[in-house]
Amino acid sequence: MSAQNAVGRFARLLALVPFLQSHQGIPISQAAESMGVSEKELLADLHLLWVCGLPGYTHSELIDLEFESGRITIENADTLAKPLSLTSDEVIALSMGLAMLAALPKNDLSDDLRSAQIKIQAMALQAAELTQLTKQVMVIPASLEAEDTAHLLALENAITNKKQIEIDYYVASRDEMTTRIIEAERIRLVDGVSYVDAWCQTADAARIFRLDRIFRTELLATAHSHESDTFSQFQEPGPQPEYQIALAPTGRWILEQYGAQLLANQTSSKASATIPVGDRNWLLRLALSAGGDLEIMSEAELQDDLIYLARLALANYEGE
Amino acid sequence: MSAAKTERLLNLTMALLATRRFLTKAEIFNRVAGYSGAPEANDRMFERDKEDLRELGIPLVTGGSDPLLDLEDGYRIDPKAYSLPPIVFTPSEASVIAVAAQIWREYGFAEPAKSGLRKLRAAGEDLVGEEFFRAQVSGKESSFPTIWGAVKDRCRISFDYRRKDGEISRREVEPWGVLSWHGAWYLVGMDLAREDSRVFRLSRFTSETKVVSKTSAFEVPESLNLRDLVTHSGNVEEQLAILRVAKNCGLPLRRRAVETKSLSESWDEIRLSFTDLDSLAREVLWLANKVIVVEPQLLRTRVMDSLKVMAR
Repeated sequence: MSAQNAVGRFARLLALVPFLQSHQGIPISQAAESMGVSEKELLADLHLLWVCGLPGYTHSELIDLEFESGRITIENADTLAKPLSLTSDEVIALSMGLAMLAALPKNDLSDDLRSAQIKIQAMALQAAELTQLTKQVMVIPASLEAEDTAHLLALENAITNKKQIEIDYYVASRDEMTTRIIEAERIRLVDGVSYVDAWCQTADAARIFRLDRIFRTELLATAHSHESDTFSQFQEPGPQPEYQIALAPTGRWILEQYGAQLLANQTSSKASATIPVGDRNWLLRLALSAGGDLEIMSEAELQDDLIYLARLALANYEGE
Repeated sequence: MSAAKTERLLNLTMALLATRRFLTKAEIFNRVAGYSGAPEANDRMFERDKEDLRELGIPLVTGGSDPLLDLEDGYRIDPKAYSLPPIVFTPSEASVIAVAAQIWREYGFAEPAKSGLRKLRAAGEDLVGEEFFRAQVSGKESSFPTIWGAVKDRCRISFDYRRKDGEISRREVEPWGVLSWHGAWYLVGMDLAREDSRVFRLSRFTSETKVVSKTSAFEVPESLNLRDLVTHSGNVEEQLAILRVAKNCGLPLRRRAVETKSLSESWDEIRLSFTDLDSLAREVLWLANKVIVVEPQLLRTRVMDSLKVMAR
């Protein structure tokens, strides 16, 4: 563990102690979840707190903890009864998050967002530093197209009332339109692009749809047939076959965007990596869009298809 | 070793919060657990610890010296300045804050969002987000933490950068600020070789970002306006593209078209406006032989060059 981690852990403990005081008797698992740590880390933290306290360090000065029962109680820690105020980075992180939400077409939230933002800013440790830094960082979210907004509102309606909805959806890997019935679970906005997590009746599987590829929505009277809370399925898709690829330095964005992994021992300028692929046609399109930055190593046939399509496309220009 | 450091920092903070008068260094070394080394070693350790506390924003104050009584400066932490003020959130405010904190996932401002949420929860706030909506924004670019650190500390940085036309060069920049525009991060700063302000898109960095100066190496202009600088940099201005698209193909492109006309039995010509040349080039390449770029020339050249590389 590095010195940096020691400070990070110290900062966490400064929040953990008042958390335990305001949640006396909380189960260990719940405390770990709220603090965003594993149970193992939380137990290590508790063992460390045990030997801390005020000068003198006798029984009456040390922090007193009990957690053998699986529930945590804490005493003798009044010095740390309150958490440390918010740092400028913490205020910025939360305020910018709120500003992002304010840009979404969910107007009933705007008052809460504004008041929450004011309260958060009032908690800043270094008001002067914060004033300076807020000039140095900014988020400007994309506004939705009118059509997308209409579809988004229809989808939100379907989510709230747990009704099925029929959509026309453009499938990019095949460049074609499909019609399907879905049970929408939630909307996610990722880097300015909105996605719908849904159970797809037509495919009988969990699917993710991009809002800007939905061309029509029609709310149906039929209620959801599938259990909700399938969120984990969207977060962690089942194991997909790994394809081997080679990436040019300018194609590194593919690593982060599509969960590709670099292989160890890189020597050449083109980096070897693996990428999870559900549909080989998708990989072919991705390679095309990367414009030579991504080479497919796994299947010679796929790389041949890529060359063939690139030549066809080029012929369009040469024939002009 | 580092558990000992965590322990010492916690003991030091508790002692300095609990004391009503200033504690001198000698008193701290005598009383606070963890300073058991030789005097010089203690001194060095204490200097680092003070830095660490201040880095976290802990309001450490010095004072209490008195030449008449032969008292040297001491230290304490003002509990009032230290403590999160007692602010109560309504349930709906609490819920939007929880959602807002999740926006960063593991990128960008994810760490401070997480620690901020932890503090609010520690104050007894019940912060749980609505399940049906999740928003996420990334500073996926791995250079983000380095750049933001350099902005705060006013350190010069250097990195390799690929211009829109593909040319790559090494840049040395005084970073003034960062801005996320429609999901993409930009760095705004003084380009030292060009002696002028420049806007850099983080996804076009082609090397690691290195800090190349001490802290407080430059001043940020008083009148800094990130939005204006990015808007006028040519990175996000609207341009018109003219594309030929095969019939029944490229529906997302067609949907954004401001004008569509039929050219022949198999081709249409569409006009659409765009701001991001990189992403339009990728969209066109994705559709391979089903789209031909007519204008602008920069886009046409980019697409043709990419196709030539792939066609070999």
